[in-house]
This record gives sequence, structure tokens and C-alpha cells, in this order.
Amino acid sequence: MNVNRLTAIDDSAGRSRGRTFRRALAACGGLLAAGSAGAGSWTTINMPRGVTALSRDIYALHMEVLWICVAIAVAVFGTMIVAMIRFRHSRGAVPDTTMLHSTKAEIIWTIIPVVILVVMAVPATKSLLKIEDTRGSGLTIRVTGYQWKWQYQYQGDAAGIGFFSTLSASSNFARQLHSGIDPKTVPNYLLSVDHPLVIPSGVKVRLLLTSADVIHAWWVPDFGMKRSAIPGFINEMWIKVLPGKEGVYRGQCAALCGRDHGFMPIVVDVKTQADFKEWVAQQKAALKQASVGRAGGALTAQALN
Amino acid sequence: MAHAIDTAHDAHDAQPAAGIKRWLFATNHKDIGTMYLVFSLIMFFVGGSMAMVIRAELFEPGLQFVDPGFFNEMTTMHALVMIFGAVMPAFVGLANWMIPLQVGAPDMALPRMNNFSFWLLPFAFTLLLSTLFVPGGAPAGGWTMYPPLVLQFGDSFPMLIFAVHLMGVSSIMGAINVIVTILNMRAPGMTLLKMPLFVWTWLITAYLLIAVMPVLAGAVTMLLTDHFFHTSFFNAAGGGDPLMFEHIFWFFGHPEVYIMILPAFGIISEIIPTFSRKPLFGATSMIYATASIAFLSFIVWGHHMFVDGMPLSAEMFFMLSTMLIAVPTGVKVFNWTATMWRGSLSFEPPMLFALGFLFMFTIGGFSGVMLAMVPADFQYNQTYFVVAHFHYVLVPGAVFAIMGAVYYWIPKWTGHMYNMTLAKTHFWLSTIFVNVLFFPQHFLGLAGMPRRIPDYAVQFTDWNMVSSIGGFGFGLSQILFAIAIIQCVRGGRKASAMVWNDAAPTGLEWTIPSPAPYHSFTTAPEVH
Amino acid sequence: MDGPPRAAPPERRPHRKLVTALLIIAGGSFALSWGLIPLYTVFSRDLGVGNAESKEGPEAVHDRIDASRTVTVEFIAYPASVGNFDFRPQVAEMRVHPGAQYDVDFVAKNRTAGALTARAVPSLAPQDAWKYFHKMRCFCFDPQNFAVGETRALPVRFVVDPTLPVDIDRLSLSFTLYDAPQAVAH
Repeated sequence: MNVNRLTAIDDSAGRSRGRTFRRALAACGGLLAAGSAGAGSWTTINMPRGVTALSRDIYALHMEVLWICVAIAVAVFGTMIVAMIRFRHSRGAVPDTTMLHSTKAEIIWTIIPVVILVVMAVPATKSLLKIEDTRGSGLTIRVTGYQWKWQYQYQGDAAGIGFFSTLSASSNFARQLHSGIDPKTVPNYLLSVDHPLVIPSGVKVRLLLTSADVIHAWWVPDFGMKRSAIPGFINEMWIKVLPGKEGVYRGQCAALCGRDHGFMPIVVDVKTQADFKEWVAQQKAALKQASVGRAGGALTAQALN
Repeated sequence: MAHAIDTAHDAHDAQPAAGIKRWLFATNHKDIGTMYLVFSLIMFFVGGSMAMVIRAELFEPGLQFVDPGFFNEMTTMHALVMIFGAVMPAFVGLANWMIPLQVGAPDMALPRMNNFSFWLLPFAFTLLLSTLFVPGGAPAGGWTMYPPLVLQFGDSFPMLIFAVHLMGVSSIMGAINVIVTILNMRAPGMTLLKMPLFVWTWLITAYLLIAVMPVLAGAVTMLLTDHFFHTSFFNAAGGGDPLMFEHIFWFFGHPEVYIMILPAFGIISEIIPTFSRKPLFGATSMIYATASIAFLSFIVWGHHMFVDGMPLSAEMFFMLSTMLIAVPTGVKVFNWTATMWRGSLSFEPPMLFALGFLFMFTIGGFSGVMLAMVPADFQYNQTYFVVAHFHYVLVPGAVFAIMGAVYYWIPKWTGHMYNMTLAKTHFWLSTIFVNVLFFPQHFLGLAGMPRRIPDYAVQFTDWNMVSSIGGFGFGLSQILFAIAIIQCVRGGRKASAMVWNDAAPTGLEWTIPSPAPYHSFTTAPEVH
Repeated sequence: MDGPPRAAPPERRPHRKLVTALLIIAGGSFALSWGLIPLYTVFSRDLGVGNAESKEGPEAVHDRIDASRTVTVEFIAYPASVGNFDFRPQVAEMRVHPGAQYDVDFVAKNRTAGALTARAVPSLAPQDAWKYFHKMRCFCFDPQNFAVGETRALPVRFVVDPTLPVDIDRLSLSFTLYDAPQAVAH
């Protein structure tokens, strides 16, 4: 449906999709061989550690707070359970009706939570400062949300490269009401696109988010960050994928944006810096070959969509 | 509205009017309370069936039953119906029934306004629900009504706005009535600090309502003028800012969250002492905790908007203020636990629901603290983790408290005891299924499933299936609730004035016979 | 019950007073919701938060030029709806010294068969930098009229405040160009 095959950008993205497809097929095959296609699904119950320093910070913060909560829960629920067992009417417990209040106890259980909260706030503030530090970025990409697709436009050295990224045809067929296609047979169902965003690893990539219509949100869980794309305004976030973590990462639009909100995925192909340079060169050559102007490339792509 | 004041009820018929007139022209707080509660129960089932549609569609990946547009209508309407149709009217109904009985007043202060504020609701919800049948369908932009999305919906949009206005007017009038009753009509000797906790929490809630419902009304009016009169409050093209709506909405929205939980705190503070046979521990600090939660609720709205991008200083402020709410909330939980400590506990249905509340609301509180951490919120926000969080505080939180309140006071209302076995079965099934329903949603959110999507990637299949099974189970269990209520209205073992003779209920409501006579406290009781 | 009503039934006048007070509170918070918009704008401008635009005149010029520091300013143009305008910055980015005044042009071309009025909405990332970015002159201050087929340079003159926090080394200035049908607001 939304498969464009007119510019060279599309061709290369098509190849990368082919690769993704094969990779996914291989993964599916492996799982089937293991006995059940959904085997991994029961165990995906936690936040991914992710592939950026930030996502790992966030994961560590999440785990710290989670364990603190579990510890408090054990103490509080434990006390409640002990009370429910020890002080049962049916066991002849006699109420101590003189126990009306205790300033000491109340001060203690006001101060202890404050201390615990401070313990939580310190690492939270530290990673927040890191997240908001945008210095030293190496690449800027403009990300524009549309109902219901994403547009990526590169700035700086890669300026001129730009394309739309829509739900892949296979997922789009399968997701129609009463399509009769089992989503489990579709590779990366709802998480695959025609043209993935390509970024280098080891470089601080700034994303400037905006929207052409309603509010969207750009989110790849493995990168740890999520930001809204608001019409008329730009919002900033950055990603720096750890070297050695090249690969394909997937996410979705995270703000209700109308009918097909669930069907505008985000796929990011992270390449090594050398591979990324090569990709940019290829894209630029293709742009020249297609002999469309610098701004025309984006416009052609827009017109096609 | 002012003329309603002059109508402190003159007609003191010992018996209610016959037939439909009794309800249409009701000025009796018990009749109006009953209507609120029945309305709320109906809306609970209406909103619940919408949830069933949602869970059926999410049972497995792929679209099996509904179109994505209709799915969005369901999530939007489910929220609006449950918040404004089920939870809030249930609390107002309980306030109507119990506040006059608990403060020793003959009725609510403004009986005709009371009638008006109830009868606005059926019209508001007829209007809201009829949008399901207009061209273009019901509102589908989420209950939060964010522009520009909400402006894309056709005929349903002005109907939604008008319905919200009606609900707002109804809530404000209800709140005024509650405040006037509490401040002006207490029995001699009932000083403010002697008031039961349910009355106290409702007093604070009523102030919250008066403070924020008009803000919601203002925000949706601006949406209306943006849509029809070409203003640009939220339209970037005309110099407005879509984020402004979010700021105003959540300035209403966060106190609204506490409007739905503070009366629940009050109910729990009534039930636990009764069945622990021991006075509430730290009653005064409970009142201060409630008041500080209400105050803090006004300065934390930004935590709903971290992912929209805000300056570092604002992120820090909203993170710390939000975390601070955990302190008074913690005080409440600890005080309830201390009330049970060295008590003498029995586990009648109201107590079961109160204990269910205590455990599961606390779980919702924990995820709330986690959500306050801005960096982690960048991952949690807009996912099923948030869905799990607010459903934990609202379903086994607010809704369990309402059910506990019904099981606690219904013998006083009907004069009959209900079927204890049925009520206990209802509790256990609800508790089991509500956890099967919502606990896995934490996993789904953490694993990366966004909220408000009709279809999902296959790695989310298993836990969605579990969650849906829990949803169907929880939905079906509520039929037992309806049966228990209907049976109790129709008949049953006679309830005594004390109702819970074996336990230690305190308060003026237990000094009058069961069922409570149509007119009670026509002579003010003395409180010592 | 069957007894007579209390001698002094629930007093009427105190109710009136309290109800009036409560209605005033409700009215006040309704007014507040409208007041939140200017409040938010003022708050945003003064604290440099949010998206509110700060219109400024030449008086905001800083005489101290910090030549030891260089900040990159990136220019971004969004035509709000595809087809009506070609809209782009003349240069992609500029390296500037805080305190010095710079001029940059955006270029817009009316691609429609009629005259158009456009209005540009400025935005700056990161948000924390808003209050350190001063526009002395900007085409976004006024609506811009375009004849059929007209191409025109749209100038911006700006100064980056020398007090810009050191942890910001790159600013992105964007304009979203809305055309008349959308911009005719009042």
C-alpha cells in the first residue's frame, strides 16, 4: 500500500528491509525449532536495559526504585499480614482501645519516607542532568510526525537525505479487520517499516521533533527516551548508541494520535560510523542520479506519500 | 441557583411521595443518594462493557472485532463514563446518604439544588452516550481531550463539551451542598475535629471540586471556541500553544485524581476501626495528611507532561513535589496499619474490601512513586505501566472503597442484612481477577507496549491474554455485586440499628434505626 | 420522623452567605482557567520556559561580545502544509559568538495561484535556551503577504545572550510557516 519505489533512497531501504526480513525469519525459525513461537513472551516482563548509556542509567534507576518499593512492600504488607493473623477477633484478640496516637511513631513514619525519597531523588537528578545535556552532538535529524507515519530529514553533512517511514506492507495487510492473516506469521508484526531511520553508533544524534498535525510521541524503548512531537514547536532529544550495539531497534508512536495511532512504528537501523558514512554517500549519489534538487528530494517523497 | 437556597425543605411528609414523583421531585437526601448510587451502578456496568470490548480486542494480536477508530471511542468513553459517571456520582451518592446521618442533620442544606445536581447527570450521560450513534462516532481522542486531535472529531465534539459542562455544573452544585451541610448543619456539640473521617475527607474533596471543575469547564470552553469561533488558544497557527491545554487540563486533572481517592480514604478510615474494634489511630494526623495531599495536588500537574519536554528546573520541581505526596499518603497507610495493630479483627465483607484497598492501593502508590522519577518516566509514560498504575489506584482503590462502603452501610439503608457468602465470594473473585487483570499490565508497559493501541506486536500476546481473562473474570464477578444489592433491597435478615453489633461501629448513623427513617434527626442529636 | 420540624429549621441566611462565597470561589476558578493563559505566557517569558514567544525590540542588545565562546545556531524551516510554500533557511547553520548581533534570511516562495498571507511560529530547542535567545527583528513578528509566485527573503536578526549556560553549545531555531486559511484567526 504505502510502498514507494521511486527514488534510490527507497531501493536501499528496501534492501535493508529485506535483510531485516531474513533476520526476522531466522529468528522465528529458531523459536519454532525451540518449540513455541511465543516462548520468550512470558519472560519479557521488565524494562529493556537498552543500548545507550542513558537507557542503562534509566534501567538502573528503575531497578533501584523497584527494589526499594519491594522492600517497603515487604515491611508494610508484612506488618498488615501479621496484624491480620495475630489480632483476629476469632482468636479472642482483645483490642487495645487506648492506642489512639503516638506522636513519636508518626514523626518516625514521616521522616523515614522522606529519607527514602531523597535516596531515590539523587540518582534520578543525576541522570536527568545527563539527559538534558545536549552538548557535543554529531548529527541532527528532523523527525516529523504525521497521521500516521514519520518523516526523517537529515541535517548537516547528510543534508538532503529525507524520507517517510510507514508501516510495512506485510503488517499493513495483516492488521486489517478480519484480514485472516495470523500476525504471528508476519515478521515483526506492527514493528516494521518501509524505510527505517539510519543512524551511526557512538555519535550523539539529536532528534528535533515536531508534528504536521496532532501530537505524536517518538519512542524506542531500547534508547530509553521518549518525546512528544508537537505541531508548531520543536522538541529535542538525543540518542547515543553504544559502539558494538549496532542493529535494528523498534518502537512505536506513544501518544494517541487518532485512528491509526497503533500503526505508525519506528524502526532504527544503527550502523557503525563507517557503514553510516557509506550509506550517506550512497544516498547522496542516488539523490544526484535521480537529478532532483536538494529540497526537491524531500518534496518528491512528500508528494508520493 | 440562588433561589434554591430559600427552599430548606418545608414539606415534612413522614412518607415519601408515591410513584415516579418521589424520584423526579426528590428533595430527600436519602432518595437522592439512592438515585446517585443506582445511576453510578448502571454507569459502572456501561463503562465496564466498554472495557470488555477493549479487552476482547486485545485478547490476541490482529484486529478481530472492532475497527481501530471504534476502539479509540471505547477507550475514551470508558474513561469518561467511569470517572464522571461511576466513581464521582458514587461518592456523591454516599455523601448524600451518609453526611447528614453522620453530622446529625435532618437533610442536606440545599435539597432542591441537590435534586437539580442529580438530574443533570442522566441528561449529561444521555448526551455523551448518544455520541456513539452520531455520524463520525463518539469522541475518540482520549478522555484527556488533547487538541489538536480532539478538534478532528465531528458532531460528537460539541456534544462531548456540553456533556462535560453539565457534569461540571452538577459536581459543583453537589460540592457546594456538601460544604454547606457540613459547615452549617452539624448537630450541637459536633465540632469540626469530632467529625467522622468520611465527612472530613468529603469536605476537603468538595473544596477541590469547586476549585477545579470550573477550570475544566474553562479548558473545554476554549476548545469549543477554538473549534467554532476561530480563536487560537491551542492552535499554533494562530499563535496559541497545544501544550497550554495540557497545562490547564492537568491543573484540573491532578486534583481530580484526588477527588476520586480522598473520599475513599474517608471510607477506609470508617471501616477499619469498626472491624478492628479500636478507634482510628492518629485521627488528627489523618485529617492533616488529607489536607496536605489536597494542597500538593495543585502543584504536581506537570508530572503528566514530562515527555512533552520542559525545562530542567520544571522537571525537578514537579518530580520533587510529586514524590512529596508519598509522605502524607504513607502516613495514612501506616495509620491504618497501626489501627489494626493490637486490635481485634474480623473479616466481614466491608473489612475485606477495606483490606483489599489497603494492599492494592499501596501497590498503585508504589508505581506512582516510580512514575515520579523523571528519567524513568521517560520510559514508563504513555505505556501500559501507567495504565496499570492508575487502574490500581482507581479500581482496587476507589472502586473497592465504594463497594466496601456499600457493604458497610447498605443494611442501614435497606434495613436488611445481605447475603454474606455472596458478598465474600464477590470480594474474593474481584480481588483475584483484578490482579490477574492489572498486574500483567505492569509487565506489558515495561516491555514496551504503548497504551491506547488496538493491536500490538506479538511479543505482548501472552500477558495481554492473561489480562483479558482477568478482565472478563472481573467484569462477570460484578454481577454478584448487583445480585447482592438487589437481594438486600428486596429482603433479608433484619438489620439492627447498630448493624455491626459484634464489631464497634461509631458515629451518629448507628444511633437511628435500620432502615434509616425517611426523615432522620428532625430533632438534632446532642454530641458529647 | 413524625415529630414536628425543629423550632428553628436549618437556618436560611447563613446558607446564603456560604453558598455565595462558594459560588464566588467557583467563578473565580473559572476565571482562573482563562487567566492561566496570560499567566503561563508571562511565566514562560520571564523564566524562559515553555514555548511562549518572546517578542523583543532592539533594546535587548547586549554590548558585551564573548569572542572566546562559539555556539552553533541551526536554522530549520517547516512549511505547515505541503504545497503552498517552499520555505527554507538561506544557511543551514551559523557559528556565533554570544553577545554579537547576526542576520540570517529564510526564503519563502508562494507556490499557489493566488496571493497568500503567512504567519511564522518560532520555536527554539533546547527549551532552556529560550530566554537567552533574543530576536531583534523577525519576520515572525508580523504576518507576511505574498503575491502570486512571489519569492521573498524573510530576515531575522538575533543575539545569543552572553549568559547562555555553558552546557548549551547548539541551538536550533525553527519557524513553522502557516498560510492564511489557517492563520486567519480572528
